[in-house]
Amino acid sequence: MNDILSYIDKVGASIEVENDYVAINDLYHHRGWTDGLPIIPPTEKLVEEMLSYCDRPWDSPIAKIAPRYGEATPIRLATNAVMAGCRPEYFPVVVAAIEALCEEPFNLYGLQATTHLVSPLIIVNGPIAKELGINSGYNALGSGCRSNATIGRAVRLSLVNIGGAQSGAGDMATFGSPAKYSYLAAENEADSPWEPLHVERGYAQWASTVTVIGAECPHNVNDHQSITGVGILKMIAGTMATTGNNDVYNIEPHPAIVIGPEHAKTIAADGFSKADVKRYIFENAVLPLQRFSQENIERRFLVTCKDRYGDANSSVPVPMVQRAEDLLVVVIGGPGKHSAVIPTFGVTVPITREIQLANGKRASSVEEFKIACSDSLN
Amino acid sequence: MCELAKRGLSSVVICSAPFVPLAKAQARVFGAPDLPLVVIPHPLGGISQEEIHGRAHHAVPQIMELVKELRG
Repeated sequence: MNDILSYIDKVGASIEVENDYVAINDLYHHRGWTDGLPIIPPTEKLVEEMLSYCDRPWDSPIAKIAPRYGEATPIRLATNAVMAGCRPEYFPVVVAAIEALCEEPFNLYGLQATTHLVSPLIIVNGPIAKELGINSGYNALGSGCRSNATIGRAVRLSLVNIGGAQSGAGDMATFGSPAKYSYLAAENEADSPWEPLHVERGYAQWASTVTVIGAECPHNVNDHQSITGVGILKMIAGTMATTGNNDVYNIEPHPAIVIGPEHAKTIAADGFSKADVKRYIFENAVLPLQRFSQENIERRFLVTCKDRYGDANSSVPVPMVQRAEDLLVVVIGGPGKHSAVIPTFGVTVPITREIQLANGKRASSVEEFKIACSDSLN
Repeated sequence: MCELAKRGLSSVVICSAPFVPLAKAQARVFGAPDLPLVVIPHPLGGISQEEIHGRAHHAVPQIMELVKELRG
């Protein structure tokens, strides 16, 4: 079942090249197989090592990636994970993220092909996030951590190489965003005063999960002055209330709020639960209709929401989210008086998926994948 | 649209010029590589009512011609 040699003998499944790192990278760039950064050449040996953490049939699709609807087999995903620089033990997270991205309500086709600058944000929760050293603290949404950088990059390369999201063909983004290189972090569960994201979304505390969000880059909320929860929440709501984001124009958007641990502590100390936070932001992240251009009022709001705006005056509030519970609230980051607002593509539902073994059992460590893989080969 | 075409219904896709590569790729993916495309000037957003009517006038004769062809 899991024999890489029989796979690479298939026509078109492998290429033979000169053993020259620079030449290989030139070739990969020339063929449009990279994100512009150098890749690790996915040799048979490295791909097989990556697959040593995969307990499924290596050549059977786990999903189809839009817009090309290319079959995401473990071998193809592992190839992209090697190219991205992943260590083999990261691979179960790559697989879970791809499965989540390909669930219908996420609308991966829309995300991949749109002119909007969206890219998937992946948030990892649970013990596997800690085991893999996925950064949830200083600079968690930035650079500097191998697991954050390379797992996110492996997903992105898979979306391009398997899904066909080439610029100007499968990916029509007007200008894209830096998040199209990699966009992944763990939740800072240790410093959060609230239940973690995966627990809130129905998973056990000891489960490990990925949550995917069709997201813009973070928009910062600098608040060094507020010393009350309501003060910080007012600043977050104010940052969220903008005229040009996709969420304001869509029916059921699910924007995300990243709350820095220091802000979270202040907010929670004033008695706000996560549900209270969502309620406050839902009620206060609004703009008066007059802040939108006349053309947007006439050609969008009065067409799509005539009941709400049809006979209203120009100061009627326009909400950024339609229901409080549609907001995602997650605690990420290190020390500092910052939070962030993350608008979304709008027509996308966040998906949470547990990182599970092929038999459906909970994995408390990625090493269980290696044992299960080894068992399946013997 | 590809599904309609595969069922034998006369089907054409209208798209603006920058989206032709995506449309052609999708037609291939969904098994209707010969799906006719009617290409209209870009953009579709941020244009006046008159320009919208102009796009329609550009598209309709081509659509009629293609439908006639498809029906043999």
